[in-house]
Amino acid sequence: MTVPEVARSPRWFVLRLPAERVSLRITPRAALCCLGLAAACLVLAVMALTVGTVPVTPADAARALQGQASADIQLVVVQWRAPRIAGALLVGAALGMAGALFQTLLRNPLGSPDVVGFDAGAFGGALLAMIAGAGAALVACAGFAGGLVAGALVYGLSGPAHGGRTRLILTGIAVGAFFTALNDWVVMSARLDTALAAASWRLGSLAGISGERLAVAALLLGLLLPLGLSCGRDMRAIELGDDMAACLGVPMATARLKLALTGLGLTAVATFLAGPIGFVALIAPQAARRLAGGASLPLLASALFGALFLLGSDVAGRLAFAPRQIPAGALTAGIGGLYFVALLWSQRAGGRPG
Amino acid sequence: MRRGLAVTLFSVALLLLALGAGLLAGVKALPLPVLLDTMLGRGGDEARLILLGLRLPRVVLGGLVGTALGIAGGIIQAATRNPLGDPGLLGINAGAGLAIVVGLGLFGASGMGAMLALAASGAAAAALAVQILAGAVQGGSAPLRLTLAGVAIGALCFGLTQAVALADPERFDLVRNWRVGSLAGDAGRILPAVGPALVAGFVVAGWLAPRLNIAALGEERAASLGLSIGTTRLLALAATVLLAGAATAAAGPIAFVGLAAPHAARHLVGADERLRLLNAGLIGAALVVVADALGRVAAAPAEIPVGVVTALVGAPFLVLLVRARQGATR
Repeated sequence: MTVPEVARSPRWFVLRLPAERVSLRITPRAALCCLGLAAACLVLAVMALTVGTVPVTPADAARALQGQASADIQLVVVQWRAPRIAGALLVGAALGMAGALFQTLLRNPLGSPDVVGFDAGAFGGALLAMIAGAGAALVACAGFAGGLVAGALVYGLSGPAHGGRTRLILTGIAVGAFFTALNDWVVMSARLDTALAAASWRLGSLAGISGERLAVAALLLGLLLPLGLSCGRDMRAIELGDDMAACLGVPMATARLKLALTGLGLTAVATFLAGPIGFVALIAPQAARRLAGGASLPLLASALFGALFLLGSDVAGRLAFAPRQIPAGALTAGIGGLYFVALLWSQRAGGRPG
Repeated sequence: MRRGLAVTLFSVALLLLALGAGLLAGVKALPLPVLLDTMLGRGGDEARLILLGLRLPRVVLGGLVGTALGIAGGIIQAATRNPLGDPGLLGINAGAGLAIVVGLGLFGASGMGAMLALAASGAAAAALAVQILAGAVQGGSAPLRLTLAGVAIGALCFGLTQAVALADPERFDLVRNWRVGSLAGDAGRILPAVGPALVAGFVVAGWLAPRLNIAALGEERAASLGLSIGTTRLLALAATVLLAGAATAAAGPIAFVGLAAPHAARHLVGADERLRLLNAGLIGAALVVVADALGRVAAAPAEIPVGVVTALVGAPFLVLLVRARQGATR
């Protein structure tokens, strides 16, 4: 939908490890952008540790993380705030990267996992496992299975791949609506205590992330995020189109499957940790591309931007109506909706694209 | 015309069957003879209370809401020439929901009258925003643009609604029922409040229907036949806002009825908008009443809200529709 920018003769340098196992072409702008985003994440994380209903000085926070502060500060910083910040960074990074993968795979900025219903499917699977009383690891697996089902439904129902991506996105919206209704039904017919726990999860909240879940998610993302980063070359090939990619000797079916499974895995883990959080996967890759320059969606910058966006939303939701908290998912939906509107508006007749 | 009559009779029969099912279904099973006896004024007190006091108002409300949604969807589809037109998909319900939550929560509005005014103005604002946004966008097919604009505005409204609702637990309790459409409210109190708006909406729709037939020829030809495009658009917007707003005020957001009913009607009667809107209303009413009855029976003694049932049934319908229009929506 967006008009691809013409590469402005970037001066790039090449990073090449021995035996050419890894070789990357890096533009200074992209590297600078990633460094800047990472630094912003760090600053925001420190801020998130210190601000809130119980103010903590940065020095105290540092001491608490080393286990040398008073008991109540220890509780606030280590037990409450640190897992939440870690969760926000992980979920945001996973969603941002999943968005870049799917938007490239479907070759449409709207083909992100939340718009086409994958996170609703993943949440459905995780929800069922949770209600059945499964442990954290099993809930994560069920989430992945749910995401797979949603993905298979969207792919299968939208017909042949050349039938137009419009159809795929509309089918995805329908599948998403179906799973959302199913999730509502499950939550409503569950026992009250389960339903209450699921209700805040359903809105996409980072409050009350348990250490067990965080550990499982961190382990899985430790595998999935590098796997996602390694998809960069396949993504460039897919962007060229089927024929050109085949000419370059890239096996398209394998590349597509790898992208789809990695993206689904990232979406499922993020949903497992924080519930369905909308619009991070939609916004992060587009914003990252504008920051990092270039015509294709940058994976690392997308992940960093997603982490920054979600952490920022969570902090804002925590502070805006303190002591009341607004789930991060509600804020990202609001901001994301606004961005979505701006994205559509920027494509209006006579408007400047991009 | 004879076919139109036959189809309309068929739709009426369908609606009657649905109403019967809606009256019979429920936690307390009532056999058909009891239903008939009670309707003729001969039943026992308990059956009278359940049927006339509880189920009849609910079924009537469901029928009216369904009629309103079916006609509103039909008008949207005809006026925007978008086969995927639906008040829920286009974010109009979300707008009404946001206005209600803001009015109820932030400004302490209360009463059905205020709720209705809020819902209608929210629906109008969202409808306008979606139309402007979709009309402004270039590229992509018209249905896709409208749907995406609807998703965008809907997400914006949803986020704001959640933020307003969750900022205060009491408010949250008050408005959480607005998330999913349900007919479990006090139908006897809701009916008189939304009735006038619904009737006004039906009247405008009746006035509009013949114009839609001409508008279907395309803007230029319609204008050359003397049709004022601006007035037609205004009437369509007014009818949609009245109907969808009143339906949302009465039952909360119910999606997919406005999508499915007009398509079924078009399939049955063909292109005449007058007959199509009439049948869309009848079929929409039958859909909502049956969905509500299903929701009452499926998880008894708990209730599945009607909005959830229509989404479960309606989403696959959208998939079918998108598949069937293979070439056209690309």
